[in-house]
Amino acid sequence: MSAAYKSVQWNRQKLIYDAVMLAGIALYLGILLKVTPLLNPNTDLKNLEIRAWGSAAFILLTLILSIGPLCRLDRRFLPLLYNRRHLGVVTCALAAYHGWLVLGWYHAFGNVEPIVSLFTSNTRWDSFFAFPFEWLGVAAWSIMLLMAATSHDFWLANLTAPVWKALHMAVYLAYALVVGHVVLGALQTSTGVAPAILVSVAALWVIGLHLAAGLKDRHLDRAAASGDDRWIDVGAVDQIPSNRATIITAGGERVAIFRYDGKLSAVSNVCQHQNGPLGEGRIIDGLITCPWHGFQYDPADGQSPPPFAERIPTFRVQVRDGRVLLDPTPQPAGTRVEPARIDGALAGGAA
Amino acid sequence: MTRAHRIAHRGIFVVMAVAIPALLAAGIGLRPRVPPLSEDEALFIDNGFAPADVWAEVGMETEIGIDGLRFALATDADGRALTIRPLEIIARPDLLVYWSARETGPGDDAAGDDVVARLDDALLVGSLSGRSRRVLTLPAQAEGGNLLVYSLGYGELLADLPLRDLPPARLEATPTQTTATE
Repeated sequence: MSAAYKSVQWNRQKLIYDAVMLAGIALYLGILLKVTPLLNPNTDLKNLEIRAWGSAAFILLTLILSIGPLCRLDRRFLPLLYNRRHLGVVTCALAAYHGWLVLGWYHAFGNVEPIVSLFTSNTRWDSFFAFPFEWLGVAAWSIMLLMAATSHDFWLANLTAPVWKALHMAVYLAYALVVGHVVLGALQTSTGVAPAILVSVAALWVIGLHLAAGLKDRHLDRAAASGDDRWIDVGAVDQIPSNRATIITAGGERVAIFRYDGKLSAVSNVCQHQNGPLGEGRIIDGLITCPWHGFQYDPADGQSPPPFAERIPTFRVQVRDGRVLLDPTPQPAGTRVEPARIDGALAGGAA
Repeated sequence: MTRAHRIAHRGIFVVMAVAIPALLAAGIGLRPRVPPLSEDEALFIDNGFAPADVWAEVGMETEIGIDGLRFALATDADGRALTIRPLEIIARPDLLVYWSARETGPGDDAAGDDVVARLDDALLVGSLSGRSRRVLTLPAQAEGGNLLVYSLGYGELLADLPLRDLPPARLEATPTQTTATE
């Protein structure tokens, strides 16, 4: 959300976030590359370096994929989500350096170009344990590169949030390919138990988290789906905390109904930035504030405050006998809908 | 996420919840316990090299300095399995180790010898990587001779190490000691 173009809108939080990330990566690589040879003098140093960078990318990708569902399950993880895209770009860079080391060590001394050697040195497609796992790694990295290249808000704005989100869901395929790359590659030549356990735990952790978050979402979707009447009873006014929202599903999409200043307003639950859950945010300075990146919208008309131009659909809402009623038909994005007055409705029976 | 994305997300992870554990189980649980023999193994055995498993007992290491490089060496009881460990990184590409029956002494000028001719009658016994300890299986007829460290990338003979001049540690385990033969 910017009035003038800035390549990256740095702020204190992003700087701290990135500093912690880079320090963590440096610490991991330092420990692995310096301590391992001391513990085991027989360590193949070049192979260790290749696997250190590759494993750093794998661990970071595992962390990235854990953040989303963790935030769905517990709001306390939301700060991790704030700058997640930088994690993705760094993961792509780590994986690229891993690939560069592999090319320089395993494929640079033959009589063909290293990149040709990478794709042609193993053609045992019919074998499981000798499968050309390099292809899996290259495919995963290609997806990560595409995502890193389109991670900027420029692409988000031009592709639109739904298309951008759909494109970036390819990260799940990339993760599956990475797991295959590791299992059919490094774990076939490394007979140690610890790497196998770590890879298995990481993969099952990610899958378990996403399934848990998905099941929670499905439960919410089903619980909120109630009838096709024009006005939907979505619950009691008192159930909505002040300056917060309740989220319901209407017409297949989620609607966030905010309570603020003695009024109610309903808007789409999907932030125009990265499809963040607006209903899990709160009212700050009279504006709906997305919990992911702080994008803001006026609750009455769904428009970002000037000079910003983001707009979200709004919904008609009323209060009757202490109950909140919603018209599930969305109004065009940015359409002003008069907020429902709570005090008058509770006293007079309708708003 | 929109509802369509949520549905797609659940579908993707239901599939992954089946496919990934199956991949892990098959890829890890059924992986070959013993690495397959190299195709070159039989060739080496045919040329008088002992199988790799003859070196069961390795003597304590002896540190050797030669041609500006430092190595730690040790052998098994019958002197056929030699372990070699560079004590510092050798900044040359593609380090190969040869054994040559033709002996040269510490004072001989190895660099003056024609490298190709020096390697012509030598047998490749292994390679070096970083500071890793590598096990070299010497030929059955190896009594003395020289160990040659050669950079294939630079075509440069880096070290010409007389094995006969090694301290007794080569044949019998002795405490670590340092011998300068430069």
